[in-house]
Amino acid sequence: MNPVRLAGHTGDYLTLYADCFLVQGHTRTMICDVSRKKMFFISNAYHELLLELKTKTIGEVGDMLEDQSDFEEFEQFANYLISHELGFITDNIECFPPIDLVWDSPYSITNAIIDIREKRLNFEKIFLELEQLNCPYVQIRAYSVLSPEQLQSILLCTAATDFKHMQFLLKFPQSFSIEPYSQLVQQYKMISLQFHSVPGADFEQLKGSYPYSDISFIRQEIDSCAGCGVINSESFTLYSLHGFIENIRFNGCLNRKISIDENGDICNCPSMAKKHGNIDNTYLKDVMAKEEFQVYWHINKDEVAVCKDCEYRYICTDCRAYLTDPGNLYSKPLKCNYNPYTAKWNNQ
Amino acid sequence: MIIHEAISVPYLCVSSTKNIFFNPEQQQCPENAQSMILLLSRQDDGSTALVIEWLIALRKKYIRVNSDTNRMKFVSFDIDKEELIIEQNGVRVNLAEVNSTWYRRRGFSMENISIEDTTLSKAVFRNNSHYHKTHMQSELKVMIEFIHAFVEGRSTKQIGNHSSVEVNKLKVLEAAKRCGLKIPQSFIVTTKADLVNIINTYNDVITKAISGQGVYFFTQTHHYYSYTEKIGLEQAAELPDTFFPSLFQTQIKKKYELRIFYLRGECYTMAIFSQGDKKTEVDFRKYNTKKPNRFVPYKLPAGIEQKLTKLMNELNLDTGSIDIIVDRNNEYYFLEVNPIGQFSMTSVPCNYYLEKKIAELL
Ligand code: SF4
Ligand code: SF4
Repeated sequence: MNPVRLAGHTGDYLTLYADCFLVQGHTRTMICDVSRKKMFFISNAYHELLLELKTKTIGEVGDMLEDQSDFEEFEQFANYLISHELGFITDNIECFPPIDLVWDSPYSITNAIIDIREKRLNFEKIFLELEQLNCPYVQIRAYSVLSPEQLQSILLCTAATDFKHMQFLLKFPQSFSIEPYSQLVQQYKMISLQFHSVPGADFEQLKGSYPYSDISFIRQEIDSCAGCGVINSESFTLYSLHGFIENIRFNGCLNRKISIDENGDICNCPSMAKKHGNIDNTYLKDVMAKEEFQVYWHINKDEVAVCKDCEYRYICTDCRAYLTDPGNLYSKPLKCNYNPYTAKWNNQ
Repeated sequence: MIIHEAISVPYLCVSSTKNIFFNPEQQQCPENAQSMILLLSRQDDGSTALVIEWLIALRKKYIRVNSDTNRMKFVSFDIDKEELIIEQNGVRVNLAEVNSTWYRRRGFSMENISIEDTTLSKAVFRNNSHYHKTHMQSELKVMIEFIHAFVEGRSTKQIGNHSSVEVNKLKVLEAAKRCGLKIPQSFIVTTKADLVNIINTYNDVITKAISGQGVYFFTQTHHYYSYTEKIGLEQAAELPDTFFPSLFQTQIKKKYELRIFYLRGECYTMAIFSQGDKKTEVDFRKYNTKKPNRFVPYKLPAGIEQKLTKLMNELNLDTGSIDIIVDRNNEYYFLEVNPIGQFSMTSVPCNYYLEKKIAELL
């Protein structure tokens, strides 16, 4: 592709495609290409330039620059955007509105975490209530071994539900055989099983041995909910425009989530200290409707200290349970070691 | 058929500018228990499933009928009692309860209400099965028409309608022109000589199916066209001297293409940038997965919106999917309208929430 000469476009506009979002951080700006799921980093000076270009023509912005070398840099930058298909030159910018950041979901609860250890929870009641809340995604995290029979007895309680997906995080048992589990995933199409705490030798033997993605193995030892909340470059999510907008407007982890901890206590997530009654004598729908419960849904990253200066903030899921300052609802997640003021990860 | 009894759950609504906490007082009144929404769709239609999610959230009762299954059976009709009973998956429903209808697709089909074919041919018209088929088909046609009239007559709310699910491309082009929209130069010819003449005059010429439905046989050699194809002198040379009447249009030098989902006077418009890529240059439906096209929201000039509304009114369509090309001089060329067009492909990338809007209108 031939480079574009801006001199021929002084009356035109240079603009980003609406699905390429600018996220300004303290040291740099991310262009988040949501449709193609790619990140680009530019200096904040270019971010300012792009803001000017929203209302001014290429010629008008060119006139604001001090000398010829600045204009050449501008031209190079324009070509960078065009060649990466992040932006385009147009003479009818009024026809290209930004994407409206409205967010809604038909599900009053979009996802639920249920933790289990020794105590037997009343899954019949739990699933029925989640179904009534139209909840599509359920994650069950087991910290003690669940035999295939125990797993099946939980799955039997899903008979009247219509969950889109149920993920089980299961403790790896001492003597393991895959057959009974693979039978279950065949029978229940909406489930997937991930075994955690797999010993090294077993892991080497098992990895790659099962051809489908509905059963998987990880080495990580998970013995309580305290392992949750780690934020690193792998935990970033850029799943869809809908999810991205939700993350801009709401809490990336807790919005429309409801959880039940290993004692049956209802909470935003099992790691949260605040509990809202026990599932044995409380309805989920009463808990989720409480303003106090929904507070966490609405804490977005533009309001969180440090995160509000971070260029990753709209793809970072956040954590409101483990905070750098437990007394401050709006403090940075404890388990994140990114420093947006230096744009560096502090790897201990 | 799925009947979903509305369940009463708190439903949280979030507006675009302010976060509103759920407040039981703001809950919408559940719809009248007697009312039911009829969704006429197909099994494979994902958009219907998305609209259903919203119907459930809005606590509206619905019944979905897919035209491509024979699981629905017509049971009986009683004029006095005003009962039209159908059965699907063992559940009987009185269609007199329907007060809202959505034609996502065509509607009831022969497949829906016919009885098993082979049994009948054996039993009734042992030696003239062709006769019975034609006879049955004309009987069923009357039945289907009546069922549509029956539900449409009771529907105070309706999106789409049975009589205009199929449009005549050529009539539409003519109507568009009358409404003041630009259209590509269009010709229907049957001889190679005429085609060559057109190519020599206009250079860039494309051909497309005249009828709404995709593929149709075009040359004697090996070409089937389901997509819009460019045709030059070389391709024309391969043709026999006379051929089946075919539609040719001058190719517009496009800047970008627009896909508009029209719903009750509103145009939800999306621009599709595909020019950078040879694969999708003529018709963006030839999808390029490596570098997907850009789909972004677009604001139509008011004048074009007015003309489109006029056109849709003239065609008696309250909804449809419209294709437009914008050329390098910012001229808008109307290509076609599909009354039962896909809308999720516009709704999702532009964040228009069309599924929710449709559920609210039903
Ligand atoms: S808030 Fe933190 S601990 Fe709780 S589920 Fe989210 S990431 Fe995990
Ligand atoms: S600083 Fe905040 S937004 Fe940035 S990566 Fe860490 S937790 Fe996420």
